[in-house]
Amino acid sequence: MRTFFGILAATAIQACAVSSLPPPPAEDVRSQLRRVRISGLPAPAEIVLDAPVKGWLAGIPAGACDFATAFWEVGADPTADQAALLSLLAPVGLVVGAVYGPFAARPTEAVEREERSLREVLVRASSGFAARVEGQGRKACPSIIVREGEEAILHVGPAAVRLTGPYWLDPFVRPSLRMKVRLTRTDGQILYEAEITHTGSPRHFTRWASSPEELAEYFQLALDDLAERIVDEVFLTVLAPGK
Amino acid sequence: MGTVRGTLGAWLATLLLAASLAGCSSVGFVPRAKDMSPQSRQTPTLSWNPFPTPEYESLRNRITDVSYELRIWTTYSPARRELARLTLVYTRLGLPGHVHEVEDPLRVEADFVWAVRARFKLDGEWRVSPWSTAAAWDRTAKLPELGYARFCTRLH
Repeated sequence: MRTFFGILAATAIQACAVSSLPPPPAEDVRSQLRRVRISGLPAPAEIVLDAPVKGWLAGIPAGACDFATAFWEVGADPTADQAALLSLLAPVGLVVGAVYGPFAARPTEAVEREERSLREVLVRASSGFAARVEGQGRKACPSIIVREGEEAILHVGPAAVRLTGPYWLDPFVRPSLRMKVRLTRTDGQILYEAEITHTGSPRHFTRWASSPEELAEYFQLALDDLAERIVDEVFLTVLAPGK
Repeated sequence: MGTVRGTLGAWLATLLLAASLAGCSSVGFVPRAKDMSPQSRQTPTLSWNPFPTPEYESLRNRITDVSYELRIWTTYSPARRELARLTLVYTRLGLPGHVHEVEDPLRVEADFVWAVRARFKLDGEWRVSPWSTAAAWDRTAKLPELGYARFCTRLH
């Protein structure tokens, strides 16, 4: 039940999020893009992994937090009446969670082992991205993508790789990959700059930990989606005028 | 406790879902699933507004060679409370019209989302529109979750 509403909640919150994606390059800029080289940016600046709490002692606050916030997990802006009701119920969850938490918290060694295994996946998640963008570019606009003699450079690379969720006993964590995109002339003038994020479906930490290969598989699909999306944004997408 | 928590969760989630969809409803692109009788659910006929849609009207004279690209993904099923990975299961390029009957039967008892985009020439250069959602061209929607047009092949 909790998993189900967690999915709904996470999806609803995500749908409400405002994207900060800038408009694609204007057509007069694109008309100057006759020879573009793809270049990789350095490895990610940020790798974030939210693991479950470790050991019974940490289970007390995490259990309290888990149960007390359970009513709020669906997200933002309840009405005043809803907020009042939720505020009354939260202390009950706090007490029940604090009692239940120590029994439910998992041993430190087990969590750390899983954490190491998943962190390895996160570290490798974005490798080879520039080559994928180049491949996608050659497919979508073959006459523009070059390896030398460029007039502009499309820099792409990871900004953040994350597997994050709330402070729960076994948090419901969602993978995401944020990529930096910067299009510059050879004289260094920036023509377009953005960060584009791909966000996966959430699962309990323990479920990802039991099959890290599925997390790696998610990142492979995300890289393909992001490569396509970046090529679309920079070279192809036309927004409705005024949008 | 679980029941109260679940009921509240469902209520708030429904409100949020409705609010997020309502926010998109004023834009004029409305892909929709038609002909969804039990016999044709595995090969539904999907249709969408022809491009250029009204918001692209000012570019009409510069646009030629319009075709459409269609994609269908499996998705999670709130009704069945299962978490299916989002998987691309059907894609078509170069569709000439704004109606398409799915040619390869889709898996039964599953939930899907679908999206189209226009591929066209603008001043002689190949370009694309953003992917569609259930209510709009929306390039900021996360791939491909809530907001995308949805249908299922369940009989009940």
